[in-house]
Amino acid sequence: MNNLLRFIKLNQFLLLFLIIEGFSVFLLLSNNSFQANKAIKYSTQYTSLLYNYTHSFSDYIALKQTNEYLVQENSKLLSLLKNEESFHDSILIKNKRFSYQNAKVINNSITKRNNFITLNIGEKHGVKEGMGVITHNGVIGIVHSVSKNYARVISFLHRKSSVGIKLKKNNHTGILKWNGFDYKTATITNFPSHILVNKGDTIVTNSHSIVFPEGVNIGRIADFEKDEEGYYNVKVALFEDFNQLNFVYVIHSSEAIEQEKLEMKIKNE
Amino acid sequence: MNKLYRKYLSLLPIYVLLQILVLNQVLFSAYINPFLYLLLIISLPLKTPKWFLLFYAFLLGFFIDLFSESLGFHSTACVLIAFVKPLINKITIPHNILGGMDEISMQKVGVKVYITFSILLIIIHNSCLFILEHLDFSFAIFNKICASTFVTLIIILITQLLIKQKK
Repeated sequence: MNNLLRFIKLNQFLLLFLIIEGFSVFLLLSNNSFQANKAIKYSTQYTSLLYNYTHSFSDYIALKQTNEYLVQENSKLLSLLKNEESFHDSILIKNKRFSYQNAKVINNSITKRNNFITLNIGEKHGVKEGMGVITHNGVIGIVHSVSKNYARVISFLHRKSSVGIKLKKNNHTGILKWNGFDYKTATITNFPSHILVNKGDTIVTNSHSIVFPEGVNIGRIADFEKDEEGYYNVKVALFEDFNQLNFVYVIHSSEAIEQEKLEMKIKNE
Repeated sequence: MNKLYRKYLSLLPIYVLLQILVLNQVLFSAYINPFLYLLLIISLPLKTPKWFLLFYAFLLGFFIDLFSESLGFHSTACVLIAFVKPLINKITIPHNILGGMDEISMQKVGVKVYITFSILLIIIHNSCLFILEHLDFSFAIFNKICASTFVTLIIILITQLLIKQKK
């Protein structure tokens, strides 16, 4: 017993270090568990308040850019409206599966390996876990958890994020992922090499997803090379500047549950 | 000793706010953030009680983590450098140059010693942080560690000079 006490006294610094470091690593490892989610959900309520205050300043400074953005968006919508009128007869089925709700980004990071975004709308406004988030030029992420007034979004810049994409010109599909360093580029791995790809080809979301609508612009092919197994590794320059995210749209998908149920049925059999 | 505790605990919220509200928005070459809050751990005096060193580092990292919504990463890295700090003190800082309760600052230990001392701590912190985040080791991560260390060092040196001018 005496020896034990002496050992503890001699090595108290090391032991204390091991305890605290162990606790930190425990926090790190349990990052995805239920309890950690609850803790973060709880703390976001307060940390978001702070970010909200600071944003009221930066909003004022960004008024000019916001204005320009809105004018652009307006003109785009206007042209869409015109198109719709002129082709009214030819459109048989209108795509009404998705409806959009605007939201504002109040916290965002791009420098970490796993990035998250906080939005200023939450449970109160009808946001639910698993909803998609986009802007007019890119997929932003998926809602991870919601508190009363805020929602936390897993950014596309995250280890576990991947988006189903297709080439706009010939509808070949693939999966886009972020490789963890530069927020302006992402990669498509295992793209079959018989497909003709060119630099500058546009990439959009494909129709397989239940959270994202088809045809959202994502990026442009910047570079591609063949790997040793005969697949292309394609580098994509993203249209969206994640560093300057301000307004985004949360997607309410009316038939997501139905499609999910149908797909689960096949998996279960 | 109490004065030291009070001073550092009151500096903690200031540096945390500075880090999350200002420096986390600053970017160098697309993905480099300077970590100014390391200055607090670097400047703690030689004879700081070791339990305080560890708990202080944990607290600092924990608050940074809380605001960046990634529990555990910064606190692990901070506690690690708090643990190796006494050892690095012994290696880099010459004896009798510094009183036990003096803060470690550039004008007291000299530019060369200060840079080697802080560069060692920053490099350990950054390697721990980025390797934990990416969970592998490649040339790109090595690049990121080096660039981030450099930027952080510059910011810390500038802050040191500013603090000196005020006195």
